[in-house]
Amino acid sequence: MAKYIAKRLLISLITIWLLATITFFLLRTLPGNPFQSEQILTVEMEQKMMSYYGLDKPLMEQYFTYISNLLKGDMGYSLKYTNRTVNSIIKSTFPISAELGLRALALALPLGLFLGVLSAKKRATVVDYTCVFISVLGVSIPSFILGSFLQYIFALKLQILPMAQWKSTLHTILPTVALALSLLATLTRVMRASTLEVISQDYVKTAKAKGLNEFEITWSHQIRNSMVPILTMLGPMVASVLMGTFVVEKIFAIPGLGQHFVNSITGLDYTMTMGLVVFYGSFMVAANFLVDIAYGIVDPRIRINK
Amino acid sequence: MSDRILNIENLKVSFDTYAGEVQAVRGVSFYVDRGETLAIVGESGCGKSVTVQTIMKLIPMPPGRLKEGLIEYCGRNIASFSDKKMESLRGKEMSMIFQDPMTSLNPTMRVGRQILEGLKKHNKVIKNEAEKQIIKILKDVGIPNPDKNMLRYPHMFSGGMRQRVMISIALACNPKILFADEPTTALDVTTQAQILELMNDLKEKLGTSIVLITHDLGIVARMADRVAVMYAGKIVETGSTNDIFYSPKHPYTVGLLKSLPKVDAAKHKPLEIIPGTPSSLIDPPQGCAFAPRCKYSMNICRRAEPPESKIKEGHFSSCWLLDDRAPKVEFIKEGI
Repeated sequence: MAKYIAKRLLISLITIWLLATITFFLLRTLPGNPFQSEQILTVEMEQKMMSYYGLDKPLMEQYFTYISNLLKGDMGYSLKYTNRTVNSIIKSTFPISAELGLRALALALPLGLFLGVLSAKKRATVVDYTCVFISVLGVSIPSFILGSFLQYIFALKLQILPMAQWKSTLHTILPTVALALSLLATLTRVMRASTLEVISQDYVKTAKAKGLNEFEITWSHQIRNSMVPILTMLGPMVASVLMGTFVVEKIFAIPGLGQHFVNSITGLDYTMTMGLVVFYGSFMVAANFLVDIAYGIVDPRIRINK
Repeated sequence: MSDRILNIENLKVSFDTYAGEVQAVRGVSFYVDRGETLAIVGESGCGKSVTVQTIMKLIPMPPGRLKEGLIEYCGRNIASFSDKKMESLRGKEMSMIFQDPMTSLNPTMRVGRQILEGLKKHNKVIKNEAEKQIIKILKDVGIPNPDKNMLRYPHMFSGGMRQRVMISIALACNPKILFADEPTTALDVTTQAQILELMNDLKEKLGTSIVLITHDLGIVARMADRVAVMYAGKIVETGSTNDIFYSPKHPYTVGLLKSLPKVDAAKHKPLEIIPGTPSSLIDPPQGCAFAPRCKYSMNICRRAEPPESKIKEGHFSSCWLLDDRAPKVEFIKEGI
């Protein structure tokens, strides 16, 4: 087991290094430079800025400087937010995005799995069609439509929840729901399909032949066996949700990490983009590693031998 | 209490599909007495499995549908039993072993717990005693080191061992009747013999009746007291094992027996087969379902269903050849 973990760790590091390298050079192929969009900046000033941030040095030199700093955990200064390091920006915004993401997951995961199982068990009944309808809605309604819709109903018309911003628990409700619906929809669909597959397995018949009732069969024989596909998608899902979503955060004016993913690229904020890619990448790698460990816990057949 | 454990009369089961109503079982009657083994033989798709799974109500309904029929278990008609009532019968009074031990055990549950489930449900076993009981049961079915093996998962066992586990699950609560749905089809021949021997031993020991579904006539000869031959959702001939093997009266039974490979046959003699394929159960033929494949078929066979004729006590066959007006046919005895 220790050997396996060490091996996985090494592979993860290589993955992240490759990711950082490719992103670094890809970013530099984008036309323009970070300071071009600033309003009235003379050519002289622009060059001064470039040399201040070391962007006038040869590309390879910049690359090695960046990688050696990265190894120390230093992701450099943002080129757009004066005097703020990428580390500090992530540190201040990530917890907000993560909290929103966790709230959405806490709502979507149990509910999605439940609806998935329910809809599979009640296949081809009104219950099933309702669940499928909800999940189709959830997948097809973009979050900015749903977000604005929720704001219109609950904040503008009913006036029971705040419109936007991130201040109290009340503020978190609307964005959580807006974010959770699409997650819930995906989870429901996958869990339904996976449960339907398990329902027709022979061991379910064995369980029934033992005299177990429907609930016992579902609880101890079906759910665990239908969890593997859920785990597979859960890794990337958790990672991406915790990283924040541009749209939901924008609509609800939440100072999360999501906005930076878009803004840093349009603003050619090299260090910020790099920082986010490395941070997100590491998170994703870690999440997938955890999923691989979890496979073994759920299904003994894919357990890693010591 | 009478010795009749199970009595099935005129059982009809259909499946509603998009293609139409599939009449999987079209009026099956048989009985099973205490401690006896009844073999149901017939080719794939003739309704053997559906029949026994209907008795235990393991067929999902819909799409399945119990059209009519009497299912009498120990004198009680269980055909109309609710799911809840059936739960107290399943596993305790009647159990089932399935064909493929590779898929009929839950891959994510330790085998000990899979055995325990039934015990806990029916015998209200307390935890301390459970382990002892599981060990005893596993020992009974010939699994070595039961205390260690009960903690292992199904994929760690061989096919034969898994089938032993299945048997132990089925017999955990000493059921009165055991349905074995092709219990050895997925196993290799030597393992087959061991499993059959084990089933016979346990039957002797516990007095369980067995309904054995198979298409292997070798197994029938070895295990069964009585045989029911099924074709296209009906029992075409039923009798004691001796009756069926030594004086078969239905051309289908004769065909089955003839298609057995023979050790003493001439070297390049091809195997005997029954030509054709079973008729569709969506639109079953008007007369005898076997008529299109039967080399003795007469005009009447395609028009009307043959009645059941009694050959002697306990030996019945449904064939027009047995009618007084039919010409006498001497089935060639060679090699049977």
